[in-house]
Amino acid sequence: MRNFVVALRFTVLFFGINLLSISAPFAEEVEMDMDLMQTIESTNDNLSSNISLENAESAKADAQTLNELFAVVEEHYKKEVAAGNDVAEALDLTKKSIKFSSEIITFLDQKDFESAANTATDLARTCKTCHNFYKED
Amino acid sequence: MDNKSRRDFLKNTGLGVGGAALAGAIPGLSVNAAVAADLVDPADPLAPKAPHIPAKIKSVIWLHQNGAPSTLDLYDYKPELVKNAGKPVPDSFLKGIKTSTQGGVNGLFVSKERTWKQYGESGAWFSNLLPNLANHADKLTFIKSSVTIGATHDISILKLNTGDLNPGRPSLGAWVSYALGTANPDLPPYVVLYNGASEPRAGSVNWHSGFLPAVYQGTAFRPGASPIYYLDRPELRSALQQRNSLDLLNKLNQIGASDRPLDTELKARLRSYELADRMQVAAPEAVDLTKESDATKELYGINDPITGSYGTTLLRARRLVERGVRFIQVVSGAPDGETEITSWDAHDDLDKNHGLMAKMVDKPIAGLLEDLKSLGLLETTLVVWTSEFSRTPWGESGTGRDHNPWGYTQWLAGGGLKAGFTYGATDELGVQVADKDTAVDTYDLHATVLQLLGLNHLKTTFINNGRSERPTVVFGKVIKEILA
Repeated sequence: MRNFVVALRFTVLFFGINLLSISAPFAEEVEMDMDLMQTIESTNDNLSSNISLENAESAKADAQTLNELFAVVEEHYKKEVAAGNDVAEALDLTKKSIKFSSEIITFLDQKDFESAANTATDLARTCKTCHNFYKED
Repeated sequence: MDNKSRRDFLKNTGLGVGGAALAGAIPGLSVNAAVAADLVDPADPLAPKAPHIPAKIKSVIWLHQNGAPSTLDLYDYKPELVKNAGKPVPDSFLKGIKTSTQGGVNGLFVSKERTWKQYGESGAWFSNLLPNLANHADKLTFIKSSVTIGATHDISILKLNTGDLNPGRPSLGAWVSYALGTANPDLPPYVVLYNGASEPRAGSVNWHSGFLPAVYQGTAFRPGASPIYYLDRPELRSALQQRNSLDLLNKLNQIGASDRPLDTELKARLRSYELADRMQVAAPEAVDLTKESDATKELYGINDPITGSYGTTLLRARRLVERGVRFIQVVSGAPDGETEITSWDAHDDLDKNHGLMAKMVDKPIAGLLEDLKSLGLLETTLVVWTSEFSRTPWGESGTGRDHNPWGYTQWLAGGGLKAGFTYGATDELGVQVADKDTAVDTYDLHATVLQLLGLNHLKTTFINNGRSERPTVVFGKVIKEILA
């Protein structure tokens, strides 16, 4: 039984590494999908916690990641708008999110955790507003 | 000064400053010196804690209207809905929302029995379903732009109470207990009341402490004379025998505790034995209405078969407020003996359902507001009328309404609020919030309740698995517009 478990672990590890090496070249091309949204959500959770704990550097890294991920979202909605889809509000909300994440970085540079916390809440609300009205079935 | 001698010092001199102050401040609450010392013991998880800012209120009565009443049939008068009854809902009103009504979105529905009138100086609209509450219009602060996540009742009720759709987060009352401790050492700081034959749907997960220590969870008081399971002393055991056993247990535990001065779990356990002993007297007394006057009982509708059980629950809530209980969560059930209609969930025959449910709560809630006001308690108490979501303006099953999480009414009354005031609005048909910037989600309501209790929701934190958690998850904005 123990040998079977060891063999199973090896198999999972082997295929896992191969899968990683295959997918690596595509990693830079982040696409607007559920994974991206979940990454944004978990990064946002981390951001909120790190601001509360006054971990400035970690919080800044989270805010920077969010800023970059929202840029991907913005590109997506720009294309949608250009294609004539009715998502102008989503584009506005994404721009708002980019602005908020930039402001959070500034507040964290100034060690102003209270303003950072309030702006992070604004950011989370903006995400929520967008999800409420543009979520997929 | 070590822990033990500091405790002795406090007990011997009766310098329980917080307890003494509370004893003076709360009507009906008397705290002896030893207990007052217990209140300020730093190792006691329920020791009173200072708020972040001066509190406007001391207690919250959280009136959960279980099953989701149609606020379009209670407070949110829509002349356009009346005018367009029977017609289809224009697509423009449905933009951005996902509907799931069985058989699709039907025509707009208006009850033929519904009439509307404005009340008070504020001119708030009330339907004919709430004639008693309407007389208190100027005490209420309406939020007519409430939103939430529409799911099943159980899931949305969980969100209403904990802010999350999944079990595991603390309920609002648990956060309050954690952040402020107890104001009465003889009673739990967080009590849940309900009327009807069975415990509220989805049960104790709605008053759970989640990742907070268990001591902060709500204690459910059952309807009837014996409010807590297993609280009564067994008949074969005298009070003296119990006292002697507890004294011996306490002595042995204190010996153990003196060797482990930093063991807060042990302190909490010791406290729970004593609390249970005190609660055997305090809890039944707190819910015993025999000393209430006939006039008071009449005020709450206790002698009426429809209003009786809910009125009893609200009168108990008032008595708990008097005794310093911080958070009282009241879940509406059904009138005694009623088996067909057990909540506000009116997917069909709304007239019958809401006719009964509104009658069950109207007089008792009006009585509660009047009673709190006359006792001078309304200024230090917050009453919150809330529900997991509301109901659609379109019909379902011909005579009912489906769930509506996109725009509905809740109200608050009490200290620190602009009374006779309305914040936000729904669109002309009552489908969704008119201005998304004014939308009030569960987190915003929670943040506002905490603010009135003197707690900054961003600073009310607990480290769970290395992450700083707060009552409002990552959301929450205090609704400053409704604060006085």
